[in-house]
Amino acid sequence: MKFLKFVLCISFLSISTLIYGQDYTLTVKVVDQSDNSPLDGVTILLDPCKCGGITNTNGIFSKKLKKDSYSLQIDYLGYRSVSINKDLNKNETILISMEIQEEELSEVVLLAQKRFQSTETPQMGVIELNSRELVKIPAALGEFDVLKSLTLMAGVNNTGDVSNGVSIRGGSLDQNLLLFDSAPVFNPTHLFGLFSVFTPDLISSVNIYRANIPAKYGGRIASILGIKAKTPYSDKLKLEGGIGLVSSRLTITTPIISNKLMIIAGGRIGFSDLFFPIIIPRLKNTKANFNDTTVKLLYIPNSNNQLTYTNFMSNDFYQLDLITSVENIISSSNQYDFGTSNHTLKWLHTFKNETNLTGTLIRSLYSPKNLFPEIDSDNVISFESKIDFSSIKLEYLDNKKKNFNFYSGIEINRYQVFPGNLNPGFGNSINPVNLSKEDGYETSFYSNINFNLGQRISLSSGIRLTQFSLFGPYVESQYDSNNTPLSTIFFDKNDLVVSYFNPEPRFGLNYKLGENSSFKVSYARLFQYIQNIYNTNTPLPTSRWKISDRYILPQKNDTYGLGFYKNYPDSFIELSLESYYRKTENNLTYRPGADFFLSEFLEREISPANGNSYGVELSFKKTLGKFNGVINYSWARSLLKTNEARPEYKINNNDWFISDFDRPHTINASINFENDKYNSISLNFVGQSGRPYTIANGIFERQKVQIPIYLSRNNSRLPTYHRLDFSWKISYSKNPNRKFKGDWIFTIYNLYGRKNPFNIYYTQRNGIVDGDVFLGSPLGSYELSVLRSPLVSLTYNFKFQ
Amino acid sequence: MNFTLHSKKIISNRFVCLFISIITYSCIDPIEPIFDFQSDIVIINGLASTTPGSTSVKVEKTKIEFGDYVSEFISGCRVRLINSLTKEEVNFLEEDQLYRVSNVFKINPGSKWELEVILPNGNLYRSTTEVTPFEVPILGINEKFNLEMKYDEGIGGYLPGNEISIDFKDPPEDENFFLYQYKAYEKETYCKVCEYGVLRNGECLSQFDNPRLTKDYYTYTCDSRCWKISYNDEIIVYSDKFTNGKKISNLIVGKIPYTSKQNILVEIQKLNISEDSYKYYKTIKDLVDNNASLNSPLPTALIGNFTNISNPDETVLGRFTAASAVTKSIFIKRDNRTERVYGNFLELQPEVLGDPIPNPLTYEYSCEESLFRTKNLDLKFLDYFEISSLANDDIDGDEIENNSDNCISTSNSDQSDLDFDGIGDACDNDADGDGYILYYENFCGTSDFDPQSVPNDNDIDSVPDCIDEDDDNDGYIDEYEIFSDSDPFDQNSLPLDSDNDYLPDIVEREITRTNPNNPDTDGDGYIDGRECCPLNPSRN
Repeated sequence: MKFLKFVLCISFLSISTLIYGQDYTLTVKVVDQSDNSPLDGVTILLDPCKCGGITNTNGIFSKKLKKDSYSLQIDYLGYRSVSINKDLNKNETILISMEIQEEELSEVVLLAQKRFQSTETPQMGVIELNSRELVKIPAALGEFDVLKSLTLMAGVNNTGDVSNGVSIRGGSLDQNLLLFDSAPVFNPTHLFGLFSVFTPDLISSVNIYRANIPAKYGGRIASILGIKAKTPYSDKLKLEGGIGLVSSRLTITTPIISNKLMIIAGGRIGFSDLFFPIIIPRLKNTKANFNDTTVKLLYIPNSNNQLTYTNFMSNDFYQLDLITSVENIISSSNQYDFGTSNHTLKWLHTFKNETNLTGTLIRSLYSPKNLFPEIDSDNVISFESKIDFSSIKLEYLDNKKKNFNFYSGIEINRYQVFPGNLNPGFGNSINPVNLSKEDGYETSFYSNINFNLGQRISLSSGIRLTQFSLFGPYVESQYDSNNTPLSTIFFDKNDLVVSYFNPEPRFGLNYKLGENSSFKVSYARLFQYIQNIYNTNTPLPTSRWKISDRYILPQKNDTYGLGFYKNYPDSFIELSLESYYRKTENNLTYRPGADFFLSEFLEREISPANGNSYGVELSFKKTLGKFNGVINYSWARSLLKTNEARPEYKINNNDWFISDFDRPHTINASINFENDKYNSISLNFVGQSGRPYTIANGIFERQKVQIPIYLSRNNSRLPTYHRLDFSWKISYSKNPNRKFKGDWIFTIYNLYGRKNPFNIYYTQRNGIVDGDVFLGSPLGSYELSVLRSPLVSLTYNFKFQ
Repeated sequence: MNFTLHSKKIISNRFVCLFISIITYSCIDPIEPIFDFQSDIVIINGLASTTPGSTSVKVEKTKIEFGDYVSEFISGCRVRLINSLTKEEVNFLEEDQLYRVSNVFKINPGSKWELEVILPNGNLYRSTTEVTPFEVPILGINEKFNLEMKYDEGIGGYLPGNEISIDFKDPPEDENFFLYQYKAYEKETYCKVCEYGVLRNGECLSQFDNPRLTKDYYTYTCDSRCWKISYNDEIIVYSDKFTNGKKISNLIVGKIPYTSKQNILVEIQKLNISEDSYKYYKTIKDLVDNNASLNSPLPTALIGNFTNISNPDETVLGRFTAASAVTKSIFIKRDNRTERVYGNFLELQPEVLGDPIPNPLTYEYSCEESLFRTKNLDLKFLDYFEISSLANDDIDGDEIENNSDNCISTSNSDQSDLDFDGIGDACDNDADGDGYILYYENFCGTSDFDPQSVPNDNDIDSVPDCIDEDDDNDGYIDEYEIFSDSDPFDQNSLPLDSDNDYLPDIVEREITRTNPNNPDTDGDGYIDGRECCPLNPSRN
């Protein structure tokens, strides 16, 4: 151990070899004692110079100082403070290993490390969570879950207990760009929304940008959700894992070549074939298995270069009775088989003086499949689609001045969407169908500067120029003025079908009202060139993806933000009030009777809609203390409006109507109680206005079948969604220096057994069944709730190092 | 190396894990259906088919009636079918809440038609032109019993049934779209059931206040051969989008719920329809059957093909479809199935001689022709049921033909009829014709085979004193008359009853604890002596 530390010290010596006259350089490297990962944002105060600063992302703080005897005070939230003295008479490097201070560690503290950032930077609408914060948010089945945890944050909602993603500020699920180590993830959940796909033990942090999204990001209009995998800074073997009811996990972190090459590899596997049929009779014929793995390699050839490679894989297989079968294919069952395979190669070159260059190569493959085993045959018919995304990115960052930072970069994305092919297998019962590939390039140049104007004003100003081009081979339908199809045009390979150029300005301003309060305004414009098309509550893994073409125009969004922030550093309280207005164009709504499955000309099935979303988010956070946590309230609306000429395509008569993601009131809270270092108790509450849904405007009978008639959309609302979760973490290792640590996490999801309906639908009456409820109505009605009682689970987690 | 081994050992030793999970159910609960109901929407449903006799049009409008949502038939419309090419017109006649043409009318594949409806208020609705597709015959038909055919929310489980599948050869030259329907025939078990009552003069006569009757229903068999008709309650459509020109096999086109052990004959009708029509029925399917899943398509408007010519913005529901139809039948034997039948199956419970019910005892009811019942099953189908086309002339086997038998249901070769009322004694609940039914005579110890042997009946109301609660028919029951010292056998001897509520004052004071000076103590509108609960305003 000591030897290793020594080696580490030596290696960091080489970073600071600059000598300026009589001044000496003091370099401090701060790492987490448990895993030696660098800690950034650590406050370092020096006496007698009364100066100091914070560490950078590599955990390093460096300063030129006169020869003297200094005392260093090193503080970092959640860690035990360190005080040391140092006689500076040569260039010095000190390695500080900080120990977690359990009782002070806030469990769901937002922005814990950078606790005053909210009043310092012009960035608005940002949410940051780190792994320690995520891990104790109670989740169903005892495992923390990124997407479920996010729904505890202001402005984040979902479709209910079954949701294949999250909705941010009234946007649809596909309007959020989910990045796992920079690579986009197209299907973020296992088991139809029950779990997020991200390997839990590998997650280091989650960032969400919702307002003035930084110019370095683009491509989706509602938010950017960046999830970072842990970087394997480690000098020793470390194992951790957990055993849960539905899934089990194991992660290993180990150096391969000490201080040069390190690896972290983790996986999770879930078998629920046995679980579902037992608990839910309706799910009798369910098969559901999934797994995900994340491997990250870190290579440090020298102190100026760092290479990381991340591989993320996720696979699901399921068969579920609650999913309607695909029409017109005769089979004994419908099975879903889908997988994600992502690769990220990142190179970071650090120049002198806080400037660096990052190069990234990304490939994301998403390949969903439907399998249809034929009746009385071994043959399996399959439907396959695929998204093959690749990207190259180069970014230069200049951070050398305190009051001015600058970055600029170029990003080229290629989207290859294979919309679907139907493969008859070896049988002869169906005709093969092969929809042609869609090939699109999105090229962006971006640049951003942050600077201060005097003491009170700081500004962030950026621009992102995007050029999107769709290339052949491509078949395009032509229409007359009445939108009647006339003919089709074929584009050859590499012919330009259509191209869009869009500048996207981003702007943020922070005006400091006082020491601990500030006022911000922001604006951002974004365009989106790829979308997920579905006409259900939440998309299936096999739902169609489509890139923009001549008829399906890029989605456009202008977000305006206004916010007020106030911190009370003495009591660790942060208050914020943010309001936003989002004006969107070309949102997708489906036309009556739309069927996207292997459909060639999707523009015939969808109507573009303008959108208006606005809201106010009030947030109260207490970051430290025995009781800590966050309480949010949001008032938000999300409206859509079509502009169709043909009467049958007009939705709600072309008037504004509430979108599926309209939630006027949302209250969510996460409260932690940390009494001693062995027990911590957390409570989460989610309460939100019910999801809009559609009720019938009439009924007519056809041959004994009662048919509900719908004339408008989203004319009613499901009952209010609310749920309370409880989590109790018991750490029983009394000796913190033990190599093996185990803890139990006991969670009760839906503590008071609320039945939150996911869907309410009409049924044919079956004689007198439930007649006391349905009374004289020609149709019956049922509500489907995913959970009706508290879901209790106990998970055992262990860590060995 | 040592290091790794060590760690493994620790893990295996300490790897004690435990799961606790309280079983949790996803649930499906009934809730009161809610609607955002709009009245007076016109619904026109029309079908013109290549099968004679199946062309008909229904015109309705939505309406709320006594708080219930209904569609009301619109009478007095002028309905005509117009051949788009020849301009030939076919006029419809109103019959039985339906507009029909002659039973021989049929359309030919390839012909083009549109439908025009003029409402009594003068509004003119016209459909778009429909092209009649060509017929595609069914090659094979099969059935398979499935214990878990269909999930039923009401019982919260799967219901069994027979799945009917067909094979056919899809014509490669056209895109084809199909709608499948069935009509199933099984022997009708009862032609009538009377709950808390008996069938007299063709109607159920309530026996609700007959305290001696312990049977809560009576079943009546059919007086002739009678077939129950059932239809699909699911929409089944198929498009050859992926199978154009292929031989299609095992396509499930009908689901017959296993609700009785009667053998059943299922006639599958395969309608070849237009693409627009397919989309229409597919939308109905989404609205009706595909709406209960996690991935249910969100409900949308059902767009038909009618427009109001003078007001194109009016919402008109329904559709005119020109279809070519082929049928194929399959007979399903269910009488030897051992699986339990789901459903509220009523045990046979005919009227029995000696039951405390009025004469004449009734056993049968006629088989009334309707959408759900018929006497006239096609002769070719009768063979399936192994029934000769000849009727059974002697049901009870007493060698006396039904139409001259004085008791058809019970074997009585002697045809004895003591009171000469035309009802044989074996069927006569008052065989001696003295006005007292068998049950009363037995109860009071007299004989129903001797008109001289009659029970005491003070008020001569045909309910003998030994059963009658008010022997003098003065409105005061015997028990109260005795309690208040009046004569229960004398109509002129009445107890003191100040408020005339048929409860004597002393009874009101000491037994019922009601107000002797207020005829309706609880004020619910029912006088105290004529309700169950004179102190409870919410019950009477």
